[in-house]
Amino acid sequence: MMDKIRTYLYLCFIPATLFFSGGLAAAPQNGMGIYLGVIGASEDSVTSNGLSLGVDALFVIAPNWSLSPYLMISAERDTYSRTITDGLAGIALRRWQGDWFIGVHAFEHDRLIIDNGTVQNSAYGLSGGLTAGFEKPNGWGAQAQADLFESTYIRGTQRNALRVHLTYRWH
Amino acid sequence: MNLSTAIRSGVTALLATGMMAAFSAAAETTAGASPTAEPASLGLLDQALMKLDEKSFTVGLAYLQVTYKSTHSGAAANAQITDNGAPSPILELNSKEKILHSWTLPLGGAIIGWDINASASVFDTRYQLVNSAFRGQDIGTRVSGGYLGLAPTLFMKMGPLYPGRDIYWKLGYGIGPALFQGSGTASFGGTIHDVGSSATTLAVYQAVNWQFQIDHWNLYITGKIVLPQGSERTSLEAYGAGVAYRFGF
Repeated sequence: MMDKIRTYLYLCFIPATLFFSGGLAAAPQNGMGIYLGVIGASEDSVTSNGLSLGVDALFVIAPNWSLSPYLMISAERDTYSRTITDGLAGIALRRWQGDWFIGVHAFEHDRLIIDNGTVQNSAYGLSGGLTAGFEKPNGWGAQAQADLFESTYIRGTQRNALRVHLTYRWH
Repeated sequence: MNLSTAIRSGVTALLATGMMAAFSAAAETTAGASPTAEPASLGLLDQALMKLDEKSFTVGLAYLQVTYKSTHSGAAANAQITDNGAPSPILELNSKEKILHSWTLPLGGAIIGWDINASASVFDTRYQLVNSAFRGQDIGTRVSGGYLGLAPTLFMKMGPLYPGRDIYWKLGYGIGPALFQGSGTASFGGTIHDVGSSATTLAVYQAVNWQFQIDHWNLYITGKIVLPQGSERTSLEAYGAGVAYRFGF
């Protein structure tokens, strides 16, 4: 058992050391980016899936670090065939290793449930999450983003979402 | 003259002044134009410098959803009347940006700063929320009016995004006094009451602006709340997005 744990620690330690050492990193570049992909979300026992679209502006704040204010919106369909849309205005802090990055993000969001053409419910508030992905020098990339603990009106009920995007950035 | 009329008159004057300033700026640019492209001194370092905005006024168009909320003293429930979203003019006077703290970035910089913004707007809400959180129904109620707000604003600004291009991101929160006038009718549990007042009242004005500044153009995501002071618990909330042009003076 201990051997397995030790092995896993080594396996995690090596890429983590490479990632945070920054020694091999190519510098990220400023630029505007566009994000298009899919989203899967859950709120209480209800799940929803759909499309996600976003834009951001990446500012390099230090070697291998960037800050990206972003706007994102989704159009989803839940298990009751209702339309869900979730709009985010956030900011992401990324640590870069070459073309790859991991990071955290904080955002203000507003989630709407639309049924029969009428907005039935709105839930909004501050939330956070994780992000990871890569961007190639030609501008193309991919990104995964977890949006965690988005507040709702119902105490104890939170919305969690995972977005996977194809990205393009104009350097 | 009530506040709405005053704001409309102000808008006309502001637009006229803006057009004169635009023509004046164009004339100056033409007169000062040089046959050479750029002075030799405009190097990479100059292109990477962050620029602060001078005094300016901003004119544009937003798509906002404005909601008037009121709790009448004689009713248990509150009423919310919205315009279901409508085009709305952006009219702002902005002071010069001041730095509280700054950081140098590999390209440009980031600052925490402050400025003072004055904003004017009118509203006409006629769709009361009945069975929807956002979309109201026309049940014969209506509240209209306007406000004039003045807010010292704390902001964060980063940029430029590209060398030699004035592209900045700016996030600001402002709070300050406002003059508010709004009146009409609203349904509280099926009973229609008069709400608000035709008299101008003092209010607390709050504004959050998330914007990309591209040269003189601003792309906005905006949220504004006006809280009139009085016996009724009333608020006016406006959320939306817009595009505006900034004239320096």
